[in-house]
Amino acid sequence: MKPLRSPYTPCILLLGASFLLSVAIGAEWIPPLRVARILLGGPWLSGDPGPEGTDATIVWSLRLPRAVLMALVGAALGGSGAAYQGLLRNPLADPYLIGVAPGAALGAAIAMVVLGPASMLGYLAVPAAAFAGGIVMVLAVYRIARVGETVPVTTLVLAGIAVGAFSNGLTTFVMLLKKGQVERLMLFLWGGVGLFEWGPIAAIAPYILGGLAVLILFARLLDVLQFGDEQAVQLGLDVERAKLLLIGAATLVAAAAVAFVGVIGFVGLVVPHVVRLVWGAGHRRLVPLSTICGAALLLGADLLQRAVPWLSRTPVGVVTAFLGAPFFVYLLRRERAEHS
Amino acid sequence: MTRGARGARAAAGLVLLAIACDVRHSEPGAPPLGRKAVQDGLGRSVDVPVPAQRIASVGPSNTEILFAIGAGGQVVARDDFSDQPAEARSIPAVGSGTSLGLERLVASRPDLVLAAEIYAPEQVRALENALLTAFFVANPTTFEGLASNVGLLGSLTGHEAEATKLQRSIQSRVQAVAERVHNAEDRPTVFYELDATDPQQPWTAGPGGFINTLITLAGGRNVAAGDDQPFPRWSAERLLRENPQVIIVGDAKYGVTPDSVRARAGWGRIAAVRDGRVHSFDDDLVSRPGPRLVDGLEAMARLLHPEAFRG
Repeated sequence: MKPLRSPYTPCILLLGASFLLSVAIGAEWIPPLRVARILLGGPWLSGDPGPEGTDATIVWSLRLPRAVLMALVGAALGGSGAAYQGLLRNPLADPYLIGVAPGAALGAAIAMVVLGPASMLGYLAVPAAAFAGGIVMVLAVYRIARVGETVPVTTLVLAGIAVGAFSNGLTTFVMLLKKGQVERLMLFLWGGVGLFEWGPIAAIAPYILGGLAVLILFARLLDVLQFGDEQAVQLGLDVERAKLLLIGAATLVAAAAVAFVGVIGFVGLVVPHVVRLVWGAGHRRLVPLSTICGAALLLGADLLQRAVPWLSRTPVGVVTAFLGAPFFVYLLRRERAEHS
Repeated sequence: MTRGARGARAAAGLVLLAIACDVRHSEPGAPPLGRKAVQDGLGRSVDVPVPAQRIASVGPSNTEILFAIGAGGQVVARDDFSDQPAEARSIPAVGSGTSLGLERLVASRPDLVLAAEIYAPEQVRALENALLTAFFVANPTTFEGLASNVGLLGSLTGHEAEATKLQRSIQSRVQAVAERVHNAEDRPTVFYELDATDPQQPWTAGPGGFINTLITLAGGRNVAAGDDQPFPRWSAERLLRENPQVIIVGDAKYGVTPDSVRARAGWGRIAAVRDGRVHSFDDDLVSRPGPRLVDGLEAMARLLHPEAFRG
């Protein structure tokens, strides 16, 4: 497909539309005009004792923080997914498949079981523990999967499965140490324990925004890395330092996304692919566009989960799996066709 | 719930059967007088010893009933959940749930295994494959159903007289609560929180279960009574619109407190939170269909109608 002229306009419009829809639509129906009035009127409308105040509370205290958190997490997954795919020169890399998300979930689970998720200390410790778990697991996958200078698809997927299963096993073990955690565990492993309040948002926003800024600013390094390590060195790049910077930033972003929302798969895989198909493979565009479209996709998946009655028991990670798994199969088949 | 109704019918059938057979009383500790066929909560005819002398009680509801009717001395094994009354804790525990220790259970040489409805029919079959006599006790959904379970366990253990006494006490205490709340002018709307792991989508108790029954008998109106599922998941948005007057925190044992409910985004608007009518509750009193259900009813009634219990 021929690259479109201005890729940012449609992406930002898409994000804006899905954000507004997320605020406008929920479990209870509020007429769109009233939603607009509530948004323009400000959060103090919640003080109104009548039904108008109830709707204002629904919009300002329930829907808005949820939409902001989902947008942040989606942006983190999309942006870091694009970065990982470039870093490993492998189109199947995704925070979920290469062990970052399961590792981060393990770290977060340990911190949550020890501290309780909604304490002040928890707000600081949970993302930190998630980052530690994520970086350990992604390095493990990288070491296992690396063959010479490249990371082939098969070894990457296999190493990701092994490390991911090991992490998930440990997470299950840790969570079940505490009685009555099965429901929480299930939700967490499928991206459902959202602490949709401003506290957790404030706790992870700096990591996500800071890490994404690094990835977007240094996206051109990813383009250089595509030539291979040797070529990149000849082009004057300190390859090891560049990789360290990008892996660190991407893992910080992905781990922060997992910390309070749990493991949401496939967003980081699907979004960069679609962006690449439509607007080309250059990372200076790919990373920021994947960030924006990741936010839009996760907002959309969450909207489906909240608005479709028979999905009401389903964590949002299951919805993204429904959308993403068939796409993953398609990619694998195409990969195989190219190699044969 | 159809299973509860079936259990109640089975229990009623058993009482008739017991009368027809004219079971003679025996001293606890003496060998069983014989065996007879009794229908259990799965509708199967089980050949049980009469009375059972070495009981493995898997399920806290049964264990609590057994101790309440003086059959605690005949219990030789229990599951981990059976932690009440305090005397039960000295009986060897054999695991619980899906990790029920079949070998330890067999080693305790029970002549009857009483399984509560928290165990699946497949687990009952596994017990029988281990050559144990397994008897399934279905969950009641009404106090009449509870009374017939008490009668059933009384006749299985040879404690009919104590069982009858317990049945009468349950009946009179339920009656007493009904009389106290009868004159109350308002029937507050109640939200029973089972699990708010995700505070935007808490689980609650819908129609058909004992929680709904208790709220009604305690003089309240369950806001989820009209739901189409026994354990629905509600959105916080819907809860805000329904605006219940009382919130019962059934997940208190997982660390939820009235304060933490108050601190949830948006919940401050709910009438129950504004009026300080968010109450911690011991979920065991409603989730274990044993004799303490009456304690649960009385506790619930005191929370919903404090004025009726003053003085």
